[in-house]
Amino acid sequence: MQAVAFEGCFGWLHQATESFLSDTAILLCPGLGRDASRAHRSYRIMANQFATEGYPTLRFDYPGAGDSCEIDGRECWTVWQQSVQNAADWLRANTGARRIVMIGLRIGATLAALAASTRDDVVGLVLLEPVLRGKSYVSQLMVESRLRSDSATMPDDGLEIDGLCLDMGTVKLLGQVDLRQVKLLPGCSISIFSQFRTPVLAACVEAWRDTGVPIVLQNLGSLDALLRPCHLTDGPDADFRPILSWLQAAIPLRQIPRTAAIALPPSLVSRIATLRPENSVESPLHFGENGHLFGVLCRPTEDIPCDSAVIIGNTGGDPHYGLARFAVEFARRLAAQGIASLRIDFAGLGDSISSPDGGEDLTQIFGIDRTPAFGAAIDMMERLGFQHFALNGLCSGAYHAFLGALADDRVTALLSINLPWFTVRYDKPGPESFARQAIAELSHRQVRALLLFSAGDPGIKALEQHFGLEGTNLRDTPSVVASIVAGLDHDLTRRTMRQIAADKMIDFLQQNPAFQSKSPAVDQNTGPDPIHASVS
Amino acid sequence: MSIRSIILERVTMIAEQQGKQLAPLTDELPLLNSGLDSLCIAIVVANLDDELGLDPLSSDDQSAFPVTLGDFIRLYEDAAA
Repeated sequence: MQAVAFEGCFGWLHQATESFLSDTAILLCPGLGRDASRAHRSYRIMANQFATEGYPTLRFDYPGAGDSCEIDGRECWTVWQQSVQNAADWLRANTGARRIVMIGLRIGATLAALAASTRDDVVGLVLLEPVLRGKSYVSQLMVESRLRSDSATMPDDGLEIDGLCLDMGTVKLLGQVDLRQVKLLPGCSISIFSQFRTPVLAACVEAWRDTGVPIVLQNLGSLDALLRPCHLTDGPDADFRPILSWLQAAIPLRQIPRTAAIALPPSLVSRIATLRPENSVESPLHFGENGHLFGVLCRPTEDIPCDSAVIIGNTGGDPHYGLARFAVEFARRLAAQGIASLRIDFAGLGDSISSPDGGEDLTQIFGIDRTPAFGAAIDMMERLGFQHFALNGLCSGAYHAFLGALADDRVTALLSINLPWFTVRYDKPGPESFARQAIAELSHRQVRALLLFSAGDPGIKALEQHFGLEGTNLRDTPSVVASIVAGLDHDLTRRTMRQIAADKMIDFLQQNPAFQSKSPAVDQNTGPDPIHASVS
Repeated sequence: MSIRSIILERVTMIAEQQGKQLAPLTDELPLLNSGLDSLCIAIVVANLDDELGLDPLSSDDQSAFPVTLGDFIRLYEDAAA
């Protein structure tokens, strides 16, 4: 698979492994917010399977989502619809395919159907638990927002749920969407996978059948793993064979003779997909043995010299862009302060595969040692010229970052958020406890560590067991600071919470001269060129 | 199926899908102690909108959110009446 970028969107092209060129390519449209992050890993696996069967497959992040650039105040719904069109155009232009199958999950299915209704090159549509009426989706978001905020009404400035921010214009347009009213072209075959047989679904199927569109309706079955919370890693992976079987029967692959295929300029599929969000430059990096690990390097713009970096680990099973997209927001704020970052996926999560030999074993949140992933990330960053390293993580990510900082003496700073415990084993409080020994070790190495907690977070219990009320006994180790902040929740679900946490960490980090902002460079090599340092 | 049956069926299915352990479903059970989190409840509401065509918790409704499962069911039964 190859990272790509187009129109401010980040994506992945999974090239077909068949020796022939296929005339049919697949575009995967993710859901939004949590629907996207929960299905991220499954989308990667699904795309690999389709590519193996001969279908080149593109998956991508909408503007303002995942690793893509921000929307900058524009109304989102129109931007997202246009991004699906852009992705489809890009896919055709870069694979030579003439036909497209769109596969969408939840609101991604809605976007796929809307795009399909306007394009005669879309020959197949797979809708996974589709949002059929925008009104019910908005209702879902509003109810959740209301329950989270204890407010009876929606705020005037729109909706915010777990990193998904919808302005009022978007909410209004979204609420008007009704797939029963969407006319699909007769050449498009449809497969719908849904757990629920609602009257709205029946009406939608009937309306489309009336226009001569062939439709197959199937149970969601094991595909409900796409909707499973990321931290539940003990269930089976989604089984994509029902989609593939339908695809091969309804839209069999047709080969294009190589001589007839579009000659693709090599520059179109660039080897490195670089995005330029505000104040930063972002590039994908593969690292670790056989390049099985993945991360996004976010650097300050070229005129700012930078040799310090924060390595950001996964939270639970969420992909590298973070719970509520915290890692992306934090990375770009760091870049604005002259500090680089690498937001990584641990093996088996997000866009990193489980093992160097390509296996896809399930992963466990706490049960797997993640220090090798942090070590490999630092190895790569050193090769790129970085010299000072901090580790960061939230919840389980904080736990792994803590252990990573202990294991690697190249780490000079630790930024943990809501560290749940110091060790998963029983740790009897006292001078010999693992927690006390570990903090003493970090202090001895003069690692500057900020243990940031949301007020009332369960992790404070472990802190207080070993270091007294609110960690006051940490005064014996002055490089290690505990900070309990009111107004934050465990997952930093609101943007203001994420901003507060980011500000505190940046302030703390910049007390260390190695992480202080540097002046713009004049005729100076300002940092690494990832093109020359991809895979070991 | 009655509205009550549909709601209880949806609650059970969505809890299973989201990996939540449900408390025994009684009318007195506080929704937020049921094992459902805010996302699960929100999915149930969206699903009932598509299933029943009822959305008694729409944005212009200023009333407090139902506290117990029984309150929640009655809200839908009243909206359907």
